[in-house]
Amino acid sequence: MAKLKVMSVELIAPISEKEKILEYLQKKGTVEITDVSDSGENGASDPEKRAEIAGSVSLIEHALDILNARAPEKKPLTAMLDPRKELDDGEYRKSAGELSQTLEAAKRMVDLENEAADIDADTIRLRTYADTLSPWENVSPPEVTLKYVSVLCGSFRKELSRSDLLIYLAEALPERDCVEVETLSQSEEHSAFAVYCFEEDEAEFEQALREFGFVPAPELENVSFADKIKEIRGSIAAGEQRKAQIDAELVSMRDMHEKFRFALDELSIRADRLTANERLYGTGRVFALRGYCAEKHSAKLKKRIEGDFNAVFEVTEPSEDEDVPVILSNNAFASPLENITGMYSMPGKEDIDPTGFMAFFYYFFFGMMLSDAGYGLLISLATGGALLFKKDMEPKMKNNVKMYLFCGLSTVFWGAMYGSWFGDVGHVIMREFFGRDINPLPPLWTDAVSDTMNVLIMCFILGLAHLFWGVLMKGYNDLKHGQKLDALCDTVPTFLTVIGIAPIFFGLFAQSSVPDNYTPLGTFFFNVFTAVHTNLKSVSTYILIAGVVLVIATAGRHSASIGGKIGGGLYAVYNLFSGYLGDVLSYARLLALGMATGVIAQVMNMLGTLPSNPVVKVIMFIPVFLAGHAANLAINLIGAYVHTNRLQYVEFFSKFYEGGGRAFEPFEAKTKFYRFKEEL
Amino acid sequence: MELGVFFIILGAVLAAGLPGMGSARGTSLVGQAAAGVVSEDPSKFGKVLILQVLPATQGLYGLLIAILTLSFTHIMGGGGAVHYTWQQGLAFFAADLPMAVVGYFSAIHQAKAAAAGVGIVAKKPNESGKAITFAALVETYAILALLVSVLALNGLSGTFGI
Repeated sequence: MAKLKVMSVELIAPISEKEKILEYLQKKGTVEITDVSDSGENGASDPEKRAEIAGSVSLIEHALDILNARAPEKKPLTAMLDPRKELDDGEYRKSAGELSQTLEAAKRMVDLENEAADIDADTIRLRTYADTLSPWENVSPPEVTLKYVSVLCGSFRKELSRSDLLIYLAEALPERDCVEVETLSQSEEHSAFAVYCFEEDEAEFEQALREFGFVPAPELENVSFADKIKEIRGSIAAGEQRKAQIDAELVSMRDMHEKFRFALDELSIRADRLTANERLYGTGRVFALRGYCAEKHSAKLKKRIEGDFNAVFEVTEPSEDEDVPVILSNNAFASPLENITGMYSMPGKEDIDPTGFMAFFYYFFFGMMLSDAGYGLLISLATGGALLFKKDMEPKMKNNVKMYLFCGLSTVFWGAMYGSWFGDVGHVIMREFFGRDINPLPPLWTDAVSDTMNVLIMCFILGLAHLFWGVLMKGYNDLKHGQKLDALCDTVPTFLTVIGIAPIFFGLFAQSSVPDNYTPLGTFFFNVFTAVHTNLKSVSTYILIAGVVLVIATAGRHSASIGGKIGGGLYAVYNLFSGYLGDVLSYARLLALGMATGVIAQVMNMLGTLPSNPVVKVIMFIPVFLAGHAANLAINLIGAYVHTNRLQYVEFFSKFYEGGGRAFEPFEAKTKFYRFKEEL
Repeated sequence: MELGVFFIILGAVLAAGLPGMGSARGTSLVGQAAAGVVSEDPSKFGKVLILQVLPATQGLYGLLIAILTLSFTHIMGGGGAVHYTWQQGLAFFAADLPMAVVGYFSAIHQAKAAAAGVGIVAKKPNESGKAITFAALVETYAILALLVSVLALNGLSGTFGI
């Protein structure tokens, strides 16, 4: 439940050891390397190598795309829970040695795919050409040797009889009556003709014919149409044959997935090593590396590095002004939330790690906002099952799954308190299908929709508890830095003031006695959370006055002048009242989001049971139930997540947390598909 | 039919309709910004999706108020004829107004904050928590309006002994 102690490390070794040491450090992944290259000559930057790696990456990605399009892998639904594949050192060396072969295979694959695409394009072109020649396949156009006579050979892309063409020509050129038409070939798609006319009329006839859709016969050199078509068909067939060969070769490469993925990982490892190289400080013979390492790893690392390599490894306390990265370390209950803390900001130098302190409230509030035991049960079963049956999940995924398990359990608790199990499905089923108007799953505490006021006040009181917890953190942080007076002044006056005014505020709208329909647990809750004001009311005014006086007296203590002290105090009182009013009201979302889940779930159940015919009702109910609740769960899950975060970030963190720290970014193998086996 | 029932239904329709329109506009606005980011980097889908869903809640709150109005007044699920004077109807109508009006405007304004947050996700994906917080702050006022509407409806159903 804290930040891990981080040490400053420095390593000096001969250049000849550089690659080996970097490889070792990368595999370990426990050292962050600071960029010290600009403090001396370096020369390690290697843009050519970098470009080569980038080129190889895009080549392999392209090949992988081709492979996935041609031989997609089938993955089960749970694949996202699977860990990266583990490689031991021997397997890694073997695969890394095969990298150049893999690159060649990828290149071959891309070339083949390009060739196949070229063939496809050619085939289309050839087919079109063959189509234009097809009317002439069995025809040899007439050779005209007569003087003064021209012949126009051509085709129409439709079925046209000789007489139709003659009629058309007669209509188009009535005064040119000296014309003869010979049918060369005829089918449903085209009709080819030879039109004989006087040389001097040729232009006019050609014009008229073109307007009617006449396409002149293609001209070929030294080949007959039949031979040309045969040649084209030959080319097409050859292309198809080649494509079949390509397909066969590509199919034979279909098991390259693994190798390509390994290559991508290996290339990213190499690129990272280049980056690390650029961060070093070097002379011609030695290089220096500076960075950070968690204290718990540092001793072992020093031993290994100085033992296995010709190097010096120094571990020192980081100095005050260093920008030391932060590593969070929490127990199993809180560690899933480190991510949430990180999304806000890592703890700064003066901060404590808030993750452990917010864990309970985080899960608690999440459950209150999702607040349906059915949904909670689904989440708990799914995540619990994943944790049971997929023990080898990646730590990151495992943490996410764990977070939702705790959130799910809390949701079950709150759903049971509010009596919401998939809305009111128990009641609806009993009433609609068994004809008995009873609710088999009554709320353990109360129904949030009909008992809004009491639930709302409890939300406010839970909110106050959350805020006070934050103020306590502030005091704890002060104590940690040895500021005992601050610890007292930052907490006690605030507590007194808010405790003093709370009963007055809640008294405005609280009921004074326990409602009749409460269960024993509900009565207990009522007494603890909403009825407590009756006992406090008599003394609350005095507590309030004492609190306000203390705030005025202490809040301006850092000011130099008397006026500043008093002014600061008064301003703090104003801030306290307005701030806490806004903060406390913000916890109304605990009720609002909870109610939204429950009521919309009820509407889904109602929609499913609209028909009056019992058989239709059953048939209708099942799909409406499944789809409706799935949609409601999805949208409220996001809502609960977002607003739980907000309550932590805006209301809780603002009381004590500064943030601004930098997360530890170790030099490690950032792989997507493979990981190194942990060495024992 | 009395005018009372008309006013109650009008209130419920506005409570579901206006925030629904606001949420539709809002999610569309954020969705457009989000689509731009995803076209560059599809892996950011999850992060921008959360931002897009944020202004969708007003529509849900509106639905909630509409259903509460109809069920408190037994227009829905009562199984019999209901009678309200026009004054009673107007009172329920007024109770629906906070959600109807605030829901509409807060959805659109929240969407603007969320769309700006999409820019944060595009440039600094690790800071998406902050983007979410900026947008979630706007929602507070929709929640407060929801609360006022719920409390007013609750009070009315008590006052009229329904």
